[in-house]
Amino acid sequence: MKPSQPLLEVRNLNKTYVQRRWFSGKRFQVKALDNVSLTIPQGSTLALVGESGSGKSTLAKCCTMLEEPDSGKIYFEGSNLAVMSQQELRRRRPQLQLIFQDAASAFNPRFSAVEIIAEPLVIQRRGSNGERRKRALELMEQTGLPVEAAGRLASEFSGGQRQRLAIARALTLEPKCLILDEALSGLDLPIQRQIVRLLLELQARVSLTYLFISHDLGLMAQIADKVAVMYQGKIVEEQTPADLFSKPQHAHTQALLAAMPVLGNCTTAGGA
Amino acid sequence: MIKTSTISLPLLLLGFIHLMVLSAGFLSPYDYASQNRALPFAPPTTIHFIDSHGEWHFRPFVYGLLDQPGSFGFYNEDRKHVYPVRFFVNGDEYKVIGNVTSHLHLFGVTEPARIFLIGADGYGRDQFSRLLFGGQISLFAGLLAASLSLVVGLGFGVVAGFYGKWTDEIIMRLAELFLALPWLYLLFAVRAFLPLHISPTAAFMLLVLVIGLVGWARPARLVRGIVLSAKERNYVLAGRNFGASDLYLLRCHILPQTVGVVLTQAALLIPQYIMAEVTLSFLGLGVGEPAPSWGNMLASLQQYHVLISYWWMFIPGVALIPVFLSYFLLANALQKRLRLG
Amino acid sequence: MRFFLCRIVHGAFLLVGVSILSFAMIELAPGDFFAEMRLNPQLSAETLAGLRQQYGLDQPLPVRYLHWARSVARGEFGFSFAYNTPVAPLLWSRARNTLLLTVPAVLFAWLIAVPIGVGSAARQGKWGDRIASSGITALLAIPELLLALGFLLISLRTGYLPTGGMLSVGFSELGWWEKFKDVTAHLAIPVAVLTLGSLPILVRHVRATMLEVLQSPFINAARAHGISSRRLLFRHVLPAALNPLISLFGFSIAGLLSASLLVEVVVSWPGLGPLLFEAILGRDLYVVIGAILFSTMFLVVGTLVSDLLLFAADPRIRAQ
Repeated sequence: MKPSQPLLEVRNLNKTYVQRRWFSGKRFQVKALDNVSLTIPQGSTLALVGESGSGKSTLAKCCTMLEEPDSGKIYFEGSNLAVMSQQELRRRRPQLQLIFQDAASAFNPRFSAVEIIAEPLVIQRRGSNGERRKRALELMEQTGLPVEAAGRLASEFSGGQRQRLAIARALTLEPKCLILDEALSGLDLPIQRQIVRLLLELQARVSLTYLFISHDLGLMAQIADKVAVMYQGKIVEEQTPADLFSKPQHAHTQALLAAMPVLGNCTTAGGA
Repeated sequence: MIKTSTISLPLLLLGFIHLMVLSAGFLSPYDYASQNRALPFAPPTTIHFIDSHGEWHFRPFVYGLLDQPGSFGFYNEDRKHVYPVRFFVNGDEYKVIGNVTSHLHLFGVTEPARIFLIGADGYGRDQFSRLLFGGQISLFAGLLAASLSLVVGLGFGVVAGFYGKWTDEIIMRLAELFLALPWLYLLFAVRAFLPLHISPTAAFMLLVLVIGLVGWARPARLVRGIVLSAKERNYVLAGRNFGASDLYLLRCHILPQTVGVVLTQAALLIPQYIMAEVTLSFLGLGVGEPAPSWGNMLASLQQYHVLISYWWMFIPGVALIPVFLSYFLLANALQKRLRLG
Repeated sequence: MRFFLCRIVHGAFLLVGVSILSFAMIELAPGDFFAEMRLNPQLSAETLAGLRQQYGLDQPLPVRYLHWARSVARGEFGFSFAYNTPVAPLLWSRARNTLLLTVPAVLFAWLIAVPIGVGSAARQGKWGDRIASSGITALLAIPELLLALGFLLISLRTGYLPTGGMLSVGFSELGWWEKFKDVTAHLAIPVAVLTLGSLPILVRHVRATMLEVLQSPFINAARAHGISSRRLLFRHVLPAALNPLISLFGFSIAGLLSASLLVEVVVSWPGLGPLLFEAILGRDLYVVIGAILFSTMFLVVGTLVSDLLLFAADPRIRAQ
């Protein structure tokens, strides 16, 4: 892979959801992705913002091939995921991990923390039981989870700890890229900050690439190298945070900026 | 009151009943087919401790029976001879497991007396022995048939829920068809159109097969529902992201979710199927003579003179009550457990 | 409107499917009406073959199905070997008798179950509820067969009610009122058995549904607003509980023809049950299939009725 090649590149992605009902005249069609193209260089962080229903989650799922796009290409490390064989996909998938917003259903409620983190190794059949446990405990340390909690069930962790658990699990197979789908929403602000700090640390240490999906423009502006705005399935704008805040080009971006909460006399926007 | 105690009590009772029934050979004094034409409809034998002279015997004993003069099927006790009840006696041969046989019975009396704990039927056969042996047929027919239904239902439900789209549509339409069938009717029809006079073992197997295969639809629907919702959970998606195969996801994440429903369905289906076997045998379409089933033991009650005079012939029907009760309580407890998570 | 057309078509498909399925299953079993006759040494093999041919029993399965389907379209529902008449009139008269039994039983069962269920739910955990629930569970465990035999025994011992059959000897000479009393007396035992048999399940469902509704947030909110108990019950609780109860009612209708088979045979009530039983023993194929189809028709009707009622009762369904 050439150093100049982006790690993850999405080109002309289309996906439409059709809700069909027998004997009904209406057919509900939702165009979730409309000719979406994105580029994420290695080691960088791209933030994808937009309202609910703009298609962000669909994009996340398509990138990891949990959903199949109707058309378009998904290049990961130069290879098109959309046309790969099942075996090839199985080998590639560990490199590109997805972290969900809803940490509650992200784990099997009967599994303990160690089992959850070690599960990817079990699935990929790597290492012995002892080795897997060791790696799981390592990851718990790295993500700031108390090692004594190793045997606890997922449901016994707090929200912030669950996200750490999710991140730990995602890191098990040493991925190159993490897609975080609203992974910070629903967490208290101080917890959010902790997790963000953890993520930035990890990025520096292991050189991870992030695709952050969120509706929190302010937060994204602080951590992203580039921000893309999505509206009704289309990418309407893609700029650096500074440019976005000073020179928003699309009407929807302006609406988003205007809707950001203002504390006293200062906005959370950088610059003005 | 919702704790495990509510599950273990009915479970214990059921276990006890099934154990008794399985030990039929040992616990019963006679073979289920051994007739005694001289004593049709003998009443339950009274067990005495004090004889006609007023003496107390340590060992319980019974009297022989003499026909009441001028009547058929009514008896008086013959107080001349005392027949003590012995334990661990030698009696009719029975099969323990496979080809291993034994002659040992828990209790019995010396010939020519008979000990009919719950009376005898029209052929003079001991109802207690027939109750135990018959229980093997009735109870296990229900169990086996229910297992069949559940296995088939589980299979179809998982396939329909997991693979979705056309497979799901087809299987669900098929399930709808089977649910629409008046299954008792169909059961009768299929059973009767098979040769009416077949060996009891073959009849038993047939019964299990037919009952079981007709009832897969409801469990299948329920399992499908669970699989559908489990399939969309984030941890399944995450597993897929790690490269998990369908088999792994099914085995480790989805199937464990179905256990609760399957067990509850089992507790609900088994009594229904037991009743189906009893009904069929009662009407002569099930297990045939001389093999006993609680159904065909009740069949003689269709004659009025038996219905009026011989109350002990009701007992196989009454025996169903604790069995059904236990299964219902079990199903209740399981449902409560499921809902609480 | 389209909704109902769709349901009716669906029901028609279901009937066709069931008929094919039953046909196939019964045909898979070896033996037919003339199989037992083989044992009769006076009938030669050629006679049997001729009889078979005459009744079309030597044709392959799909052909026989088509003949039968045509007969259904003509309203005959096939031909009975034993009675030598078309099946339909046979089924209708017997079905009428069965309905005479099951309709009152269903009505009584619902009339008794709803108050008990509602009352139980309202007094959940208190003595009334506990006693009712235990009683119902006990009743649930008693097989209908036992109930039927038990009632027969009682009636034989006391001589109060006639034991079995539908009409007494000399029925035709009785006056209108006497006739009515006679039939009712004969009805007493089987209807009682059927009612008691279906009562437990109904009560449990009614109680469970009521409990669920009574504990739901919107009822709590309504109570907090200070709505009177009566208004709460009739304007809020009952309508919400209606949905599952209507579906349950649909099931009751569905089982109108098939639920009473055993009871009818035991008390010798001349309904569909004994006819089916006879036909089964005699391998009267088309009677058996006709009975199955009749019963399925009631299921389809039952589902349709409950859909209709749901449509009328639930504004959410109307809004779709």
